[in-house]
Amino acid sequence: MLVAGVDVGNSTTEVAVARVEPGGEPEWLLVLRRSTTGPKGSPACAEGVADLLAQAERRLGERPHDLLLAELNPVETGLVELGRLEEIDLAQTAIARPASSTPSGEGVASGVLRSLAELEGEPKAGSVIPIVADEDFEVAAGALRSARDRGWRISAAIVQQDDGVLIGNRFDSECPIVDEVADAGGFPLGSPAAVEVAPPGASVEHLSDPLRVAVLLGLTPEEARAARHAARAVAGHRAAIVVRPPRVAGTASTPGDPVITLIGTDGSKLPFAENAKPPPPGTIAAIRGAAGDHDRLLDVCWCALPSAPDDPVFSRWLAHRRAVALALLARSSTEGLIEELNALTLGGTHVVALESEAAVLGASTTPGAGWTPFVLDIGGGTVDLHRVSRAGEQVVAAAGAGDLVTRICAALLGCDGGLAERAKRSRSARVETPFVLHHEDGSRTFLGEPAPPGSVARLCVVDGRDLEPLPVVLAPEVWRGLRRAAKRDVIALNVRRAVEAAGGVARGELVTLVGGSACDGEVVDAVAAEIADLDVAVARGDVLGRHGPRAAVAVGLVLAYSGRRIK
Amino acid sequence: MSAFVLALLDSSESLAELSAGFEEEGVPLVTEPGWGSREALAHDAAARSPLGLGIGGDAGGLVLALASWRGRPYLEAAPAEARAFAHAAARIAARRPL
Repeated sequence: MLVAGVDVGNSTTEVAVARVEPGGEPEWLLVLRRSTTGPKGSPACAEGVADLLAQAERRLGERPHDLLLAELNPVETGLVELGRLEEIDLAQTAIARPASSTPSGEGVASGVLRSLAELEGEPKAGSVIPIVADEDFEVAAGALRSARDRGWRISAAIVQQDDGVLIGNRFDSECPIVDEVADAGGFPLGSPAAVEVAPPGASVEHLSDPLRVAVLLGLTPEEARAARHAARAVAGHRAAIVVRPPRVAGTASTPGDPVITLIGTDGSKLPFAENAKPPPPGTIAAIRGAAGDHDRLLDVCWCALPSAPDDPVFSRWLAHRRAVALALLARSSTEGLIEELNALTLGGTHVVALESEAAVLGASTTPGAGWTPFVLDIGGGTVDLHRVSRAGEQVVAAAGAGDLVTRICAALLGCDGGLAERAKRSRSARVETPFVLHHEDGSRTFLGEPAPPGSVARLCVVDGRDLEPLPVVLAPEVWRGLRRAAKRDVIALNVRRAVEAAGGVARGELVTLVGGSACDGEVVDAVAAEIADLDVAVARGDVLGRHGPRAAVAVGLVLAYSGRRIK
Repeated sequence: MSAFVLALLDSSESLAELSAGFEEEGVPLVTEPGWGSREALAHDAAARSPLGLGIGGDAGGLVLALASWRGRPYLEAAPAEARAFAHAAARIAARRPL
């Protein structure tokens, strides 16, 4: 009889098809995989399974009679930007913007925001900062010259388009002018503002200082708190603007309110601390606040975005964001999915094992491994530990694995999940000139044909001969450090949490890594380094001797169905 | 001013926008009149540019050529897109991302 072990993961669905006869070894026919359709365990996952079964039927000329499934618990991954929350909270007090890399002039100045049209009237007392919207640069420069001649004191200017240097060269090349401020048209006219342009190669030093910001904008001592967030927002940039919009009554924030609250399995409430170590798996039952309200949790794990010590500007930007990546593992019901899957085969769907139990059975098919009693299944959503000992079996599921690393990469790079996934798995290079690539180890190679114009001066994902630009200015060495740190902070951290929750691992034990994330050599290195102190043998699984660390659960489900049990 | 990038133009139609784009990016550009196709002019200009970047222009548009690449032009634009073309060409010269 043909059966299919089905592993529905958070990101990948795999099926292992085999012919199983009573008392015999399974005859392995096919392993297929594709991306998971819908949240893990939901009825929507049946679409992906149906697609794989149809592929199997086309290739084998026969449809599997029974589907074998494991118990499933989905993981939700997300990112909470505490710094962004503060920005929104404090938007009534200060608007802070970094500006373009090609400003005009130099220095810092403050004044009241005015439109060019307002400068046509009688000059008012005090300094002004005109906003140039979509006027032509010759027209704008002429208007500024005329206004200054008539007595307006123009201390700086803000330009919406990429015309700052053109205007400065025709008006006053020493006056600080920032451009490419897309939302300048929405700035509140009549409000106090400050503009700073640092010398080439330097970054702002006045607007990144909260006290200077407070003095320049005339902030009250009570508003000084807002200045620190404005200062953080512009720190590290060559040009910046800070605006103090009109006060709106009743919008003051309450400092110190926790944005996220954790509720323990004993009902206790714990304030969320971004830099604290996550509690052991199984101790948090619910979460409330900025990450959404979630109940029936099995585990919560979080980590801050990694820092880049070799890139102080990027590090300050990261520190300002205070982003925390979160993974939530929730208990769920798979009844709806099983109902959908039952319609796909004649024999129906059977839940034959726990995911981790199946992973042990699948991992044990690795040539040379013999029996693998300690398996770490590192997938998209979780790090699952399964240990078999004389005392029995132990299962620990820790929330956060490959998907959380992808989420962190996306946050660091400012890109979508698809590009972040490729950036997570592939090496990178910076296109220094159309013909020169600067690699992650500092070496350079030369191209036979010029790189595409859009890739010049950009960090790119290298995929064979293709270069895919990333929307971030980072040296390849710095990105490699961040990428590896993300893998260490999520996966190695969770391996440690799982091992500790399981009570440790015996010296000299074989620890077998399976799951999609174990395909990544950097993940294997991070895990091996994390548990080096335990003196264990860390090895990558090779399921059935031909699938690498993949398909362990799907293969294990077939083995469980055919009567194989964990020893 | 050194001619870091040289433009040979068979038509003055795009001259003002081309110059404005380079001025905004702070990249020195020298323009000279030329005669011939924009591709041939661009390759001639690239051969004379210290950065190996040359622009050729005619009534049909603008192209950027690399001195060390005799293949198709590195950038191309219609006359109406001269300003954006100039920004892009200047950024490539200055090793700034587009």
